[in-house]
Amino acid sequence: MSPVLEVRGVTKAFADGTGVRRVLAGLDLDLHAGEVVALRGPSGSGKTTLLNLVAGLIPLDGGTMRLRVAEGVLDLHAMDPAALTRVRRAHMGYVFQFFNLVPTLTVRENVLLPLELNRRWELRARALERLEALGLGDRADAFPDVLSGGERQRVAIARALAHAPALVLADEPTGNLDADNAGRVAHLLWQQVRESGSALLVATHDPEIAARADRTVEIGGAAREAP
Amino acid sequence: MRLLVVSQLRFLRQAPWSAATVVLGVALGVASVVAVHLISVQVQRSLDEATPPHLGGLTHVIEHPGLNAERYFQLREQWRREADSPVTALVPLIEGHLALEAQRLLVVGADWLAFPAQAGRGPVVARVPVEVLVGEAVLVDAETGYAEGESLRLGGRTFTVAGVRDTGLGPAVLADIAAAHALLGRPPDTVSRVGAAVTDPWAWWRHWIDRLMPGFAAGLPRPPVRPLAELMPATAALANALAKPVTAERPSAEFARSVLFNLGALGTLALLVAWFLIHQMGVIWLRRQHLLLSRLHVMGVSRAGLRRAFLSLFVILGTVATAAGVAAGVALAAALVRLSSEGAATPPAAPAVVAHVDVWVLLKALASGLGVCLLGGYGAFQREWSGRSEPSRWRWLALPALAGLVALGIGWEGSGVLGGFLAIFAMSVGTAALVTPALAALRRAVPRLRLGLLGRLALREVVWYPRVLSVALAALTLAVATAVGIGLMVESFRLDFARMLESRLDGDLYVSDVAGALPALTSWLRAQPAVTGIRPSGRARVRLQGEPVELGYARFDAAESARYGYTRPLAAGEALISERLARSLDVQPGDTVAAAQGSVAVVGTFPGFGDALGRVLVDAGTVPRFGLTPRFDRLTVDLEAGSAVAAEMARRFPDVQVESRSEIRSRALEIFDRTFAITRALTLLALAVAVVGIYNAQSALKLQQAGTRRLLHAQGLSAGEARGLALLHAAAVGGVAVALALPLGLAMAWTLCQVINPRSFGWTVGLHLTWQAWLVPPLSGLAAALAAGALPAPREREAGHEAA
Amino acid sequence: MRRRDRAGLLAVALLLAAALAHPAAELRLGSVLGEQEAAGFARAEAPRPFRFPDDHGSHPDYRSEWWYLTASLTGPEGQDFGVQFTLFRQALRSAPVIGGPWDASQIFLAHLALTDVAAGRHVEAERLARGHPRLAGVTAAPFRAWLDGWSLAASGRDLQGLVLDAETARIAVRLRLQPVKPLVLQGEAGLSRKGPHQASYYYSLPRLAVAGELDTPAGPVPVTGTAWLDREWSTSVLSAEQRGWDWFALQLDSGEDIMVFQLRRRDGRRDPYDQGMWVGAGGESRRLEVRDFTLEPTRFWTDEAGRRWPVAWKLAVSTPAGPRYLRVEAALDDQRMDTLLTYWEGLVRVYDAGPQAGELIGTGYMELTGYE
Repeated sequence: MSPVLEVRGVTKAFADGTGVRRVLAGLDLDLHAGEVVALRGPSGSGKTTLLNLVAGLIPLDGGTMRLRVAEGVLDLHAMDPAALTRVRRAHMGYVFQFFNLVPTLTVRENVLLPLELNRRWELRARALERLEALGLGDRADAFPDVLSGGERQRVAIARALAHAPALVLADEPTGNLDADNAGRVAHLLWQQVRESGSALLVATHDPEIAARADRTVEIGGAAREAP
Repeated sequence: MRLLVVSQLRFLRQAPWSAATVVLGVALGVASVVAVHLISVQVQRSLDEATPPHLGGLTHVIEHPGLNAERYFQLREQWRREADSPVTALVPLIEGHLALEAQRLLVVGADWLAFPAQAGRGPVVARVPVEVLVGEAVLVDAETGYAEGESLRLGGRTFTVAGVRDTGLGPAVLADIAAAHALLGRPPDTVSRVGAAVTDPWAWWRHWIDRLMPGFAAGLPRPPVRPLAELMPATAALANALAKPVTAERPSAEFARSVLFNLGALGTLALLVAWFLIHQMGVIWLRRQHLLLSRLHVMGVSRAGLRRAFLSLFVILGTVATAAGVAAGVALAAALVRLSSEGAATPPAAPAVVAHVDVWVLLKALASGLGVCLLGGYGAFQREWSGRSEPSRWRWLALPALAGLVALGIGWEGSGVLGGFLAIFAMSVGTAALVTPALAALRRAVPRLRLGLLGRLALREVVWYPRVLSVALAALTLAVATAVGIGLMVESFRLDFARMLESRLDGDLYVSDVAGALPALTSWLRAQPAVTGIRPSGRARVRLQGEPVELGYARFDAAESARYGYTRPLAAGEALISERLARSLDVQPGDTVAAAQGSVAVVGTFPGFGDALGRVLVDAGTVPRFGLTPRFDRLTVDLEAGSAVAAEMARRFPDVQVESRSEIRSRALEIFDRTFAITRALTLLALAVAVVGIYNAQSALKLQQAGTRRLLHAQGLSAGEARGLALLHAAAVGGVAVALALPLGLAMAWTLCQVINPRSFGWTVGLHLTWQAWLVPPLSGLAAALAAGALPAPREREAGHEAA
Repeated sequence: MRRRDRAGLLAVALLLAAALAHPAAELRLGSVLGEQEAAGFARAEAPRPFRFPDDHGSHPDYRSEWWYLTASLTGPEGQDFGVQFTLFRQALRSAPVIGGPWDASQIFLAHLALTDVAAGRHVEAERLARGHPRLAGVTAAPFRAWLDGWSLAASGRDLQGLVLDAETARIAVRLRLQPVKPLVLQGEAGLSRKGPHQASYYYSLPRLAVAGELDTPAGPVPVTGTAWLDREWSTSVLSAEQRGWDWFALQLDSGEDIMVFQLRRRDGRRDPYDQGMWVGAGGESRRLEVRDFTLEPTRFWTDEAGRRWPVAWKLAVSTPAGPRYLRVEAALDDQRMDTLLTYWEGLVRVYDAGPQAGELIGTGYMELTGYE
């Protein structure tokens, strides 16, 4: 089976005050539908960078990234930014460590936001069911500021999966939670991703969370070069 | 403390854009104040300079039909016998006309030695060279075209032009009283009027108010026309004489002074809006520094210490803004003077306003600039750091108090123009206070609105952070409302004014001062084939319920009545009275008013734009009821098109003053438009400051919403959608401001037309909702909000955060 | 000198009046009073026969003229008062130009001042008017000098039974004055030389008995006392080297009256035309020449503008009745006239500076001008 996401020879470096910090150097990665892959590595190792590269939020220095979707195989970084935005909107879901929700939208509105952006109202019932399943049915009309951290992450999961994306990206989705909540949120995330048939790429430094993944990819420490 | 101040200065360096907008806003506010001050000084000066020399230093003119030298001396002797008379001078005046080289000259003579000796200390002074005293020397107005040193053959004598002045009298000759008698061929017993200088108990106040707020004194109660007996116990010789304020001699000057008062009030608007802006920025900056300041507080810096350090920012910005504002104000004043004098016969030299920059205007600018900055900064600090989250217990009193102020200012006639403006002020404060509740209501309403998620998002962002936005919204509301209010008033006023000109000026020529020449003139006019109608009319001073009024009479057929908006001919005993008179007599159509011999029934009122005295109009047949015999001294002449009758008449009858309809009309409208050009410019300025404020507020919001924007971007929100969102957001901001501004603007316009205008000018303006005035300011407010939203927010870091 | 200087005073006062009332006016009064100064005017060049009462009246063919009355008065409780009333006449033209009652060829200026020593108050007032039967003028028989409500008029022949009646918002003066000594012609039979080319016609009534009533800001007071009346007319003006003058009219309890003046020259030298008049108790008089008296200031009062006024003097005079050594002291330091032209005119007390040193022996008036 062809992978949903195919990453080949990806490199990325950042200029900072003292030189160039090479974060990713020739990374290869395949991700298949229904598969959960954990990215592991210490702080600054490039986990978030890789997720942002996959989402097309930052430009690539070298290598390729291909996303397989119904329309065909897309070479992400060969596309113009507008097209990339459309791909992200239609085929990806994102769960952040924090600030996942738009504070001025209710829980329901946050979850429905991807459907509105993609005009895929046929998925509405399913999205709301998922919200129900995540135990948030009674919080649908609440604004994010009254939710607990765990609840917010569960809303974020519902929102990330609402438009049935091919790929879900999660950046330390449990990093802000206590152990109990972290386990619960991770469990729900895994469960929902598997049910929807999406692929999940999750960045985490928590070995317990990583251990639940189908596969773990270690991202090495950053290499520093003189300018 | 020094380190704290340094930290604040460093913060300023990190917030250059918002600091710049603060300086810009305050500088515009100061500029507006400075410009209004300079323009007012300029207008005051030119009004003073245009005071005819024979009225300089005088406050009243005494009129009486039987006035002569003997009676003048009786009056004078009586005055000199009174130990504590408020009168400080009595001056005999001679006025008349003569023809010279096809020119009709006004001759004014006075006893120049009788003017108050200390006139130099007052605002106005007589400006006549002493050589005129000697006799065969005269002073001429520049309009006569004569030059200094020229000889004039007048009245069988040769006079030398001793000086040329701009007297404001048109083609006029000023002479000593003895020479004026000789020039006019009048016996030495003749005295036309008596000028009087009367001590003003408010002089001290007027003096200082005038220094600080030139023109503002026009809003204080004005001296009324009153019986001479109130100034001096009446002599038998001058029983029933009237003492008319000199200001009433020059209604146009009076009008200009009232406009100055309006300008003064309007000039502070931009400053007020700038205060909103400062307050806003203070709140934003405090939020951005919150982490830093609270850490310092934890480390033991007192709240007062933090406040001092924070306010040091505003001292610096205020000083810079004041300097910039003074410079901008001078430039603005010069530009506005040029704007308002465009097309004027003698445009004033624009750089002249620079000459009016004195210590007063600098002090005022500094007080305005620094004051507004410190007050704004202090208010923001107290709001964010007062440690008191409970609103004041007396808060509930605010709305009733404001409502009371509005009711008092509008309902109590005696509160004058000031009361009217206080009412407007209270309305504005009330509306500004409604911004936050309005936002809260909108917040509750949003979920029920059928909008897409993005629309909802945009609206909610407007209402979500009321503290960041409400002050700027209030400022924009106020500026838009004022633009609506002033615009509606000016448009309505102009419409009424034009209509009045249209209905009154139905003749082609207006001829006055024809008492002596009337029979000859009338028969000559009758002989002219081009003359299609001659309507004589007359005027007299009478008293109505003790009030001195001007009685106008003519043959009041239906056409004549129609000129005053009345539909039927006036029957015997019927009268139309001016609004001003109706107000002061407290009578309405249907009432009967006692006259000297009998009474008259008031059947209608008419607006008397520009009248200094109340007016009553009757058919000539009703005149005897006032104890008078009709004496026609004015003619309205209808002509065939293209006739040369006017020129010929001026040549043959030099003692007659002729004006054509088009002359009167175009001059009147031109003056009107120039008068209000400055008003509009000031409104725009306030709007500009409000836009800066809205830009700041929106920028702050954008900063606050950066997280949401990133999130939405990650969600795949396209750039176009993001722009749409920002525009929608800005439109919602503008929409809230406009929604609040429209009713406030309407209320302002109503107050200006129905309350302030009658009080300051004596006539009511009908409120006409012209679409330009009604829609343009709100649309510009909306557009401004949209533009402010479309502009990128300046990138500034938050203090206390180590990384971007 | 004094008279002459008063001509100068009037000219300057008119100029200032014009300047104050008409700041924008070009001050070309000089063209009226200066260059063409004497044109058409009569001049005092030689002694003339005086004809009374005619000469008490106006001499419009001369340019300047005045009626100058100063009085030292005492109230019922011994309070001291001083009263000054002056009427100046200035001709702008030697003959009427337009004619008729309003013709402005003659202009009058009046000063009225009241010194209330006990209250420490000096009040002055000023009025300006053209010559006009109803405004200002002077008639000889009966004598009447008036300006806009103020008047000095004789009820009898000549200057017998004079009545001064003048009132302002703050003070009122009603005095009856009766000459108790005959009229004295000053200088050479009434021709008073002031310089090589300047002279005036000048006579005085050196002592008049006064009774009347004053209205002071503190209320009405009946008063009695003595007065001095000067009359002078001329066409000449002050010479350029004269800075100002100090003038004294002193009335001694002994019945003697002494008038002296000195001109303060810019070069500091004594002016040879300084002069005076001694009048004995019986009305006999003798002219005082420059060599007959010396004046020396002994104390100064500085006003808020920084002007130093000499308010106390030592005066030594040789009179036909013997030498007199006098100390003259202002009854009140501030008797400055805040009029169009600032000068000092006020009540003085005269003390013996000779054998009975320190004894109060008379009162009088002092005038100081030209102090900047």
